[in-house]
Amino acid sequence: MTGSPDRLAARYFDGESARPRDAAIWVDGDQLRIEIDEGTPDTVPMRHVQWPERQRHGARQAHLRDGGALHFGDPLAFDHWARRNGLGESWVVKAQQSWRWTAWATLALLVLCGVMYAWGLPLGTRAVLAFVPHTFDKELGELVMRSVQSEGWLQPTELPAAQQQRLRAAWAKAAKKAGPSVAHIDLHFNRSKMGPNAFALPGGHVVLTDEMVELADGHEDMVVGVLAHEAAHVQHRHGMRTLVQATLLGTATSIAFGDFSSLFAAAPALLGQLGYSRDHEREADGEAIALLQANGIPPSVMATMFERLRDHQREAGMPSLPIALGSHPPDEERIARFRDTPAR
Amino acid sequence: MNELHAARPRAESLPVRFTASGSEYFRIWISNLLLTLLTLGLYHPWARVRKLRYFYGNTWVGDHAFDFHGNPKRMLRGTLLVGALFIAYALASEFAPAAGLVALAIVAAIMPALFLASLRFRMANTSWRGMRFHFTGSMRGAYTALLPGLLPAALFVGFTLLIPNPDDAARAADASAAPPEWAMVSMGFLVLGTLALMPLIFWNLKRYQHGHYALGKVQSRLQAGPGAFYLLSLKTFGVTLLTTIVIAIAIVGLSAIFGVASAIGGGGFARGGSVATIMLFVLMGLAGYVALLVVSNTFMASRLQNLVWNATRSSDVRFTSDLRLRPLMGLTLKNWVLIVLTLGLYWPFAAVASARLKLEAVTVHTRGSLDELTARVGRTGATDASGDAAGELFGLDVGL
Repeated sequence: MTGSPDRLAARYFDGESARPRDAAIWVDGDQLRIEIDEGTPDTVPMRHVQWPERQRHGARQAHLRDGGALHFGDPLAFDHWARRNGLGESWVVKAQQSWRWTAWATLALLVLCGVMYAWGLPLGTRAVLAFVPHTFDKELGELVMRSVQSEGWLQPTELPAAQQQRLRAAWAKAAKKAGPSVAHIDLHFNRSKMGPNAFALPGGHVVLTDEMVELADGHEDMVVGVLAHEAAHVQHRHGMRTLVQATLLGTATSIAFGDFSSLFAAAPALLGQLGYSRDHEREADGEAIALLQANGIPPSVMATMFERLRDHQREAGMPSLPIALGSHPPDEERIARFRDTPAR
Repeated sequence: MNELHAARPRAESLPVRFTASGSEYFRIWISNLLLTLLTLGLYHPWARVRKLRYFYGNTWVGDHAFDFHGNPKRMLRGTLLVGALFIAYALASEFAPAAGLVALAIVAAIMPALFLASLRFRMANTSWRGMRFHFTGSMRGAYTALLPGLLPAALFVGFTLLIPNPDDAARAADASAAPPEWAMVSMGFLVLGTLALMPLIFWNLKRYQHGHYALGKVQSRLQAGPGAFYLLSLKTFGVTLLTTIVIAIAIVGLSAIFGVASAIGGGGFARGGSVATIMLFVLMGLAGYVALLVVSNTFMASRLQNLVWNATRSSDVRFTSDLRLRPLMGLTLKNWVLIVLTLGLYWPFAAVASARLKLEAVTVHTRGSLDELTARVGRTGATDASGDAAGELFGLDVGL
């Protein structure tokens, strides 16, 4: 090497003592020379040095493999020296120091979040569920069914046995006519504090409340429509998908915001989950329409049913939540969809 | 005394300085987040190292900043291990409560070991003036520090299992659905007892944590008894109670005004009016809850930081912490509002601002010259990184 070396002042620490020593360093081929207290220079292979990354604020400290450290008092002097000596920096550091790249990264992040939410997560959930046997749904459903019964939400039905029999027969006939894709359901009639409602559990338990049957007021078609909706939840494994999606979504948001506050991590996860829930409801409504059409029943019977349901809720003084906070699509949207779909 | 001063002439007071900027951390954070998402989480250790090196490199005591030495490749193994455990645990508890309970018991049993591993890893990879910190606590110490905190939870779960299940008897009659009286009474005592012991348990934990930090030959200890922790708990309780009362009065007052207003102006729109009123009540309740959280959390956080750091010392070094309540409260409120308004994009600015407020409240006082600090032990080798990942996951992260 000819010419004077490109020297940089530093403070050297040996890792054993907190006492700094004046040092100068320069690059000599693939070696780093470290001259401490103006003594004989030490030689360290360049690949044994972990250099600091370029930042606007903060200290520049290099780590040596033997536990020693070099501290550079003047960050700008170090950055210039590093560039002159071709230490290089990763593209991540370049991107982090550029507002242009930061803007692109922000945009990419937003797009990515949207894509993941709209397609990535539902697809991932299907992939996970492909490995979960259907017997698992059944066992989980049994478990939930037992706990629902023991929590006191459901009381024995007060419907006459003959009416129950008629409704079961109507459903069996309609399901058979719609084809083999309709899921098998275990239908339970129960009186309930929930009022007029119906719900499906993974594996096929479907509970229909007496209040719901009373709301239908003899229109078996309405009950068939409600059961078709619930059977679609079972067929598409919506309950299982909700479980997996909630887990994945919760993990993702806790990585992004979890180290600040669990409250902030939970809020987007909950809102996202409600969005998926509304999608499931729309899918189930679609299946219900198909089953009704296959049986020659006009889907508008369901519109009437939703109107009665809405009136009932208003009388009971239940407030309608803003759409973003609802687990179901707004009543108006569902009513319009069923009303405007032709019988065939 | 005079001789001692003669031998160590340079007593120093070094305020902690924090020089990070929110906009720079925003750039680091956004690329960290993007790369973590794109790699489905595999980049997470690299993101963590970049974040910690940025925060540590901007935390100065005297003329020297801290540094973080964690090796991302080694931390990846820890992240994967803990991530797998976490997913297994989450899935198990969602699908089958019984399996979740077993998983919880396992996690509780290894929690102290993970806590210790986390502290050891973090300290061994933190340096100041070229010297690595270390954590000198023993495994046995970790279990005696953490297990008392898990005991009430274990008793609670045990009780829930012991109480005769209403399931069997209650199907027939509604009235007998409630658990028997003795169970309720003893459960009540258990909750009260746990509350009464909480400050003691917490003191025990902090004594272990702050009693085993070491840099060179300097080893810290926590010079505070449980009394100070009881006093702080009582004060926090008082502040929370007072705030609740004030908020309740404000809500009642406001609803009285709204009630009168809607009675005068109401009439025809009974239904729409009632929905609006309900929404208004929900909003007021939410605002009240957030206000309560801000007041009691910041009170607890500021007083706890002052209590713990003012009591942490060694023969040559002691700390003072003077974190004021009002600035912290104002900052917390501002952070929350801006984070919500920007849908989370303000979060790196908030993180930097609150770190600055908390760190710059601390001053380090030394009796002798810091140059004389020397390492007592040789460099500790690489420690297990799964502890660090687990610590982060279970919220055991320690701020320095």
